[in-house]
This record gives sequence, structure tokens and C-alpha cells, in this order.
Amino acid sequence: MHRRTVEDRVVDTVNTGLLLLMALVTMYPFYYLIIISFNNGLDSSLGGIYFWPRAFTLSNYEKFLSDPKWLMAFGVSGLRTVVGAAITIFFTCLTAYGLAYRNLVFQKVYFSFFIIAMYTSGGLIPYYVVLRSLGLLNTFWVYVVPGAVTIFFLVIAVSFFREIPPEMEESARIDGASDLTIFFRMILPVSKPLIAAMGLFVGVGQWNAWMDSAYFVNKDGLRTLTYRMMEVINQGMMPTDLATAERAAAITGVTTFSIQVTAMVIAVVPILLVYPFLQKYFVQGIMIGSVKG
Amino acid sequence: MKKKIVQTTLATTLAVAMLTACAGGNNGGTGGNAGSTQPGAAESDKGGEQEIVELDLFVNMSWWPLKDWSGKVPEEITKRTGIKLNIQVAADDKQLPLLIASGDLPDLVYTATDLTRMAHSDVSYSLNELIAEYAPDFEISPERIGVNTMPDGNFYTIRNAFSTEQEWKDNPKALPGANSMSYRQDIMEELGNPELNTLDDLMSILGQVKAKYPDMVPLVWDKEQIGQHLRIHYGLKKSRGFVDIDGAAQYYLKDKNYLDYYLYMNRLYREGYMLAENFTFKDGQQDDQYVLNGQAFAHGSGNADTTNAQLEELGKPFRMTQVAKLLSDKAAIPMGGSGWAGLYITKNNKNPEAALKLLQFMYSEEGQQLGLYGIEGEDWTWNEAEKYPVMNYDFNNTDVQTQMGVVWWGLLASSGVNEALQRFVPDSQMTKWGLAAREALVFNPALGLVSTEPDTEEQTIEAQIENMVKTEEVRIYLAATEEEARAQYAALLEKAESLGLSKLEEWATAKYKEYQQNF
Repeated sequence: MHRRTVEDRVVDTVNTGLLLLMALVTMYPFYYLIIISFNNGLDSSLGGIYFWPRAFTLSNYEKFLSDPKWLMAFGVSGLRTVVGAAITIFFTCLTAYGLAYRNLVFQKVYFSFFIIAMYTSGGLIPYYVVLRSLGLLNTFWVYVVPGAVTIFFLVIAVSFFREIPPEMEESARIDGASDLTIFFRMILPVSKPLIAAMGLFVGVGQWNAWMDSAYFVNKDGLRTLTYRMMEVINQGMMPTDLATAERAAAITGVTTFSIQVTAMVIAVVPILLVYPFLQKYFVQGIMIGSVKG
Repeated sequence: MKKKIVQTTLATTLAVAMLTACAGGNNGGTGGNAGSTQPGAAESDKGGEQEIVELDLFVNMSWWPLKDWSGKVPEEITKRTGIKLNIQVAADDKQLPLLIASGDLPDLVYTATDLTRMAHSDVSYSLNELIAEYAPDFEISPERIGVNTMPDGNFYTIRNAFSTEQEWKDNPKALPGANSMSYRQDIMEELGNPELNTLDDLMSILGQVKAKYPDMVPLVWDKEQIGQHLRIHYGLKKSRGFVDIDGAAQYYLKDKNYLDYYLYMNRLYREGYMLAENFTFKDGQQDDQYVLNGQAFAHGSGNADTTNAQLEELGKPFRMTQVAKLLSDKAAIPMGGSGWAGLYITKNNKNPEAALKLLQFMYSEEGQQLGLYGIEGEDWTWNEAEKYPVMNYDFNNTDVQTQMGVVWWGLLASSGVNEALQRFVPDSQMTKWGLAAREALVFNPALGLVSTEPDTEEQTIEAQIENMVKTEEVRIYLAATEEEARAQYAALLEKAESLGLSKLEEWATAKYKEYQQNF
């Protein structure tokens, strides 16, 4: 451990300064959204709000949190995050464990199959038709079943499982354990970092998804929180072709910026609260799949 | 051995399962009855004796304020027709093409775009066939049939917002929603209430404002409607369309007044009466900010009635006044399109007869008035002397509209005139402007019908020119001298030529002459 020279201190100060500046620049826009959401809508349209709300109000939040549609959407989003993450973790790990077996026949074929699927897609319309033929449209399962195996994490999980010493498995086999017993009783408990990383990544993806809620579902009770947010944002954006603008010319009580922003904050805050605590697992988990010395 | 059997069985089962997944046909798409699962959702059997038919309606406007079939107006429509609608509002503009391509359209579609795609025998029922079969008593005006007829001779919808010249003439209180301009009343008074009768007057007033109040922005525009109010005073179209020059259909930019309009706008910029920054506003609220904060004198697209209500709420000491007269004898508002949006009865419709009955009701005077205005006697009354509906509620407030379910469902098949009559509110500033703007309406239905079809060369040319104009037009506005502005205008037209303008005009003239024969 060498002594800290002047050069060290200078570099540290400059580093810290620059990083603080970057942190401020990235965090300020979100902070701005939060203060606007707590500000009266009409007053927000006057502009000039920078550090704290000028006309503090909770009415924007009241509007959403008292709306049963929003509470329902909150429930749907939460449910799909938990169920979706659980299903994805289970099936991805199961598939990865199978593929991790070094002497697997047709291993290369399976891998090519998956990698091709990862990079290519039939497009939105064929996807829609496939979902329809599987009877998934307009059900909760359209949220969690199509994404049940994530190829990205499949590959990471395969590398991870290959790292596990084969001696562990062999000793278990000698004791008479079957493949599935080994998987559930030995492999999974050891893979906690991987599972945490996968859970977080997939969970965030599930929370943020709104396109499937928009295109593949039309039951009101199945809409997600982010879809509701999009609804509010869309409502504030009447198109500007002349015919529509004329129709909209005299409309008052239009969705104000404050309302739109409140919708955004409500949709983002829950996941934002969870993420920082799980971030270390995320980094660990991703690195786990990398090449070891 | 046992293990091998188990493994083989599992593998075979998996393979078979994969194959069956490929086979399965249409497993009940989203076209089915997608009722709401919320608590408190409307019961489906309120009609009593009449059996309520439920149909799914897809509204292809993501900003549509009414998200469901609730409120006293929809309930009344259901009572009178026996039909209840399950509403789905589009999330974006890709959703309808997806539904069309996958063949999974709901019973009804209401859209202002993708009209030609919807008006196809594979996608929707043609109304003439349905009328012949289920409702021979359904009478539609020949003009409306004419403007909605497709090349295959059928018509698939009756677009709303359309009225003939005679209908507009017969309803003197029908006001077009023409782009407006408002200005600070108190500052006008401080300048000594100068005359505002011509565009030159406007220029001079803005000059006086600039001289006396150097910190104020004389004129601020709504981001998407820059210059639109002035186009009315010059009688010009915006973005797309054609004008009749010596019998031929020429691109709207070649209108004889267009250069004058551009030079006027350019002068506004050069004299500092409008900001270059106006072209970079990020949303429709930035101009409002200037106005509400008292930093702007005149507001392009400004609606004095709504702005004044906001100023009152904010406790500001000043108020806005509407420009309520035409400022030039060249003023004109070109009319003559074929309407705005249309309701289509798709081939997936489980009850075309009921759907047609709904359309018939919404097209009737009774249905239009119910949908647009509300329940007669309760929400509005008809002023027989002046021939306009008097609203008993704040019909411009979206919260009220959503709660009552009023105004918007009326648009399913309403006429331009009925929609326009609602705007008439005696003593309101916008009404004064509307009455003045009425005088400028000019009709050329044949020309208004000339519109490019999707997937044709003409539409590609038109779209390319439109994109080009959007960016290049700004050069004219921001030119440093008048000569440069003229040169930029000439350059704009040249660029349009190089993108195939003559071909487009040739096609348009041929179409124009064809349509003229129908009128």
C-alpha cells in the first residue's frame, strides 16, 4: 500500500468531481419529473420550476391512486413481474442445465437453434398469429409464456453450470440421485447469484413491458401499469393534422404535463426502489458467465 | 433400461407436442367478446325486453378521450338502439395495420387513417350491400355516397365532418374551427387601440409593441401551427393538397398568394416580431408558457376564451382578446375534403345487421344530436329563432365530456355542420371569430377529393415532397433578406420538381377532371 501522493489526491478530486457532475446531469431530469408531479398542473405550464414544487399539491397522485383501473394495473404489473421472473428462471435454468451436459448429443444443433432464434424474428405479424394459434391472446399467460426462456441468460447459465465441479454431481449420482434431484437439490442452491441476476433483469423487463399489453390484450382488467401510463401520455398528444386540431381547438381541461409526469413517476418508482439493492447481484451474475482464468 | 424407456417416451412426447402446436388453427382471437373484468362494469342486460347486442369497437386514435362506453349519452344510445359497444382505443398507429394484416379485426373500426386499407372488400362490408339486405330504408345523401365511393363502386363508410356548400349556407351559425389569433387587450389599450383591419395594421401594431416593450415577444406561435392563422388571411392550404390554376390541379405551394405569405412571415422574423426559437419549441405548451407569463403580446393559434379562464385561475391581471375579423380580401378557407374519420363494419363482425342499425342511428339527426350535444331538454335545447343548439354544460371541458360520454361518440357519423353548430356560443370571442371565418369558406369538392392512395407512386412522391417542405420551408421564414426569401421559395419549388412534382400534378389534374364530372 503506497502513500497517497499529491498526484493521487488531484486525480481523485477531479474524478469525484466529474462523476458527481455526471450523476447530477443524469439524475436531474428524473428529479424534475418528480417535482413537477407534485406541482399544480396549471401552475406547471408557467414554467420556471427548477428545484422544488412552487404550488405543491397531491391532487395529481390522488387522481391516479384513487382510480380502480390504476390499482388493477398495479396488481397486474406486480403479478407478471413475480410470476414472469419465476417462470423464466425455472425454464431457463432447466434448459441450461440440460445443455450444460458436456456429452450431450446434438449439442451444437441445439445451440445454433437457440442462437439463431436470439438474433432473428419473424416480425410482429407472424408473432401475433403464433400467439393467436396458441390461444394466448387476451390472457394473462401472453405476458409470461412467450418469454419463458431467455436465450441471453441461457448462454450465461450454461457457462455457469459448466463451472460447477463435476465431482459434486458424480458423488450425488453414486448416492442414487436422479438428474432432476441433482438439479433441484444441488445445482440451484449453488446458483443464487445467477438466479438473482436473472430475476432482476427479467423482472425489470416484465415491469416495463407495455407493447404486449397494447397489442395482444384488450381486456381492461389485464392492462399493465406501463400501458396505463402510455394511455395518459397519448391523451396529452393530440395530433396536429389540421382536421384534428380544429376539432381540438377549444378543448379545455386537457391532460396537463403534470398529469402525464405523475403517471410516469408512478410507473417507474416501484422498480426504482427495488433495483439499487439488487444491483450488486446483477453485476456479479453477469460476470459469472464470463471466462475464468 | 427403465431409464432409457422413460427418456425415449419423454423425447417422443416433446416432439409430438411441438408438432401439434404447429397444426392448431384459429384459437379464438381477440375478436371475441372482450368484456371488462372490472368491478362495477355495466351490466349487459339493462334493456329489459330488448336484447342488448354487444359489439367491439376499435378506435384508431390513441388520444381519444373516451376510453369506454360509459356515461349517460352512451347509455341512452344503448337504450335507443339496443347496442352496447366494448371500446378499445389504439395504443399507437401500428396497431390497426397489425390487426388488418393478421385478420383479427374487431366488429367495428373507427379510424381517420388507413382509410383505403379499410375500404376493401376483404376487410369490411360494403355499406351498399348491407343496406340493400338489412335496411333499405336507410337513406344517405348522394353527395355523401359520392365522396365515400371507392374505385370498385362500393362505399364502405360515411366519413364524418363532411357537409356540402348548401348545408353550410343553410346553417348560418355553423362555425368552422379555423385557426385563431389572440392578443393582450391591456397592451392594445396602452398603444391607444390602433386599428386592426388589415395585415399591414397587424405588422405595424407588432412594430409598436416591439418598440415600446423590448423585452416582450410580439408574436409567439403554437409549435405545430406556425403561420397557420396567416394562411387563412392569404387563402392558403397547408402541408398537402392542390389548387385550381387555370383548370389544372397544381401543387398547393404554387398558389399565387403563397409567396406573399412567405414574405410576410419572413418580414415578421427579420423585424424581430417572432423568434427563431419558435421553430425549436419542444411541445405545445411552450408557447402557452410565454402567453400565461405575460411575455408575449400576440398568440398564434390562441383561443382567448380558454386562455382567459386559465389567466383568471392563475390570478394574472391581464386578459386576451381574439382577432375576430378577416384581415385581407384574399382570405379563404378551402373546404371540400371528403370528411375526417369513418366507421367501418369489418368482415369479422358477428352481427352486421346490428352494426348497420347503429350506423343508421348515429347518422340520423337524432343520433348525431344525442352523440354530439347530449340529451335534448336536459343537456341542451334548440334555439329555433337562431337555429343552433344551446348547451347547458361546459361542453369543451374534457372531464365533463368523459363523465357524460358526450361530444366524441357523436363523431361516428356526424355532419360537418352539426359539429360546427356546437361551437356557436353567443358572446364568446371564438364565436365572433368563427362567424367572420365563415365568410371565407370556399368549396371545391372535386378538388378536395383528389387524394393519393397508399402504395402508389404518387403517394410516395407526395410524401417525399411533404417531408422536404417541412424542413426547407424554415429557410424561407428565416431568410436574412427579402431577396433571399424569394430565392429560397424558388429553390423550394425546384426541389419539389426534382422529386417528381410534375408527375404528381399530371395525375392530380386527370383525377380532378374525372371528379368534376360527378358534381
